[in-house]
Amino acid sequence: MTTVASERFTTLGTTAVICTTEGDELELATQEARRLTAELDLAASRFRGDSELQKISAEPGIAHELSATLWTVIDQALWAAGYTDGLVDPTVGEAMAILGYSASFADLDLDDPRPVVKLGRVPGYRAIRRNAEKKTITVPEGVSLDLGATAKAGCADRIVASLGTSIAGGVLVSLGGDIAIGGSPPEGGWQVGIAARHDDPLDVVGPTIALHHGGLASSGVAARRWRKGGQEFHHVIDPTTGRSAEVIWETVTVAGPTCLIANSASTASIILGEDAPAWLAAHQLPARLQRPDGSVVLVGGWPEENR
Amino acid sequence: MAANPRQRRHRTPTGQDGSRRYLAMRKIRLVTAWAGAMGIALTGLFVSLASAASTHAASTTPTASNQSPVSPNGAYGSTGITPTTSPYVSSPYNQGQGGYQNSYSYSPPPQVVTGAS
Repeated sequence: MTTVASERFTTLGTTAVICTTEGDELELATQEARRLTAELDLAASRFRGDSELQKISAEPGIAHELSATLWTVIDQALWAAGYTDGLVDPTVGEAMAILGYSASFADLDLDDPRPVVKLGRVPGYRAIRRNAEKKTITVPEGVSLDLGATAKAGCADRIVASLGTSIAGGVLVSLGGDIAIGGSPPEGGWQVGIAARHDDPLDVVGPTIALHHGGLASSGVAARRWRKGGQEFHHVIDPTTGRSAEVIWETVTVAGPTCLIANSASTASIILGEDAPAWLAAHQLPARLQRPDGSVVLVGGWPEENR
Repeated sequence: MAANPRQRRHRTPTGQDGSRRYLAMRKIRLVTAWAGAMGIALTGLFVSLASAASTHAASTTPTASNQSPVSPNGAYGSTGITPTTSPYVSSPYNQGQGGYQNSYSYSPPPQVVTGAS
């Protein structure tokens, strides 16, 4: 079996893992991952006071010229919204804040006794005005963007694309469990363990699958949970209600041609609930959906699990 | 020589009774032909509509009422989409790696973990 070199670092409020099949290439791949994730954080963080996104939010209703990074991140978020018929919507920022997710998760009051008020349908991604020629966007008053649903996955794809053919062998980039791969994978494919949380210790990780092309992503409700006003919430927001999606699936893992597609589909599946398997099959995406009771549904050619 | 009865049925009848009988028969034949043609046309129309409806159902986002049954072991139900081997993922147990074959307890160690973050 091919020996794989790997490096970890903390970024974007989560853990990045970089793996290469050629040990000599690990440093270059890690440097590029550090550079692009730092750029993303500065451009698109909802919680950093100096982020480009915060400046846009502070001045609603006017056209803002965007950096190439934020333009790409918003473009990917709007693409995901269209791909999922608005299920994965970047205008959930205000709903997140109302539910209590108004600071980076590490700084969040996980049991806020104050009640939740004013819940409802989010404004919707079509409220955002774009000028592709001038690379500007206009966010209307009262609309707050949260790009967290797609930003990490899109960034994993960008890191792999940026490395391109400049490194020998294969590379895997995981940003909080959103995985993109490039080059030639190790013999038998990249071995990816599936868990409720991406940072679960290896001895509680469930089945392992081999990833050969494209990307893989998981969405779930086991991470980023908190309480407000005596109610429990998680970070996957149903845009039609402005509330955390009803918990039908604990974790949904999807493989696809890119990490962004896989991630958009896995997040949409959490919101779709019982309709998710048919939606995933219609989109020809292999997926594994696990219910809170541990039972599993496999669709689209996802390999059977030999337990 | 007696006329062939078959030929006589198609010959223009003479006299008042013959004329009435001929017109009545002709009306029946015309109505039968029209009904047959309409039957074929309506059958075609219904087949087209049914086909369009099933195509539409397959191409729209599913709802709770039209979702397909999915078995817990992954076999996919009635949408007509048959699970095939994915180009993206495969089982690590079926790759001819000796001890890993069909044995979860001897699975290869993961290089990375995916899950909620």
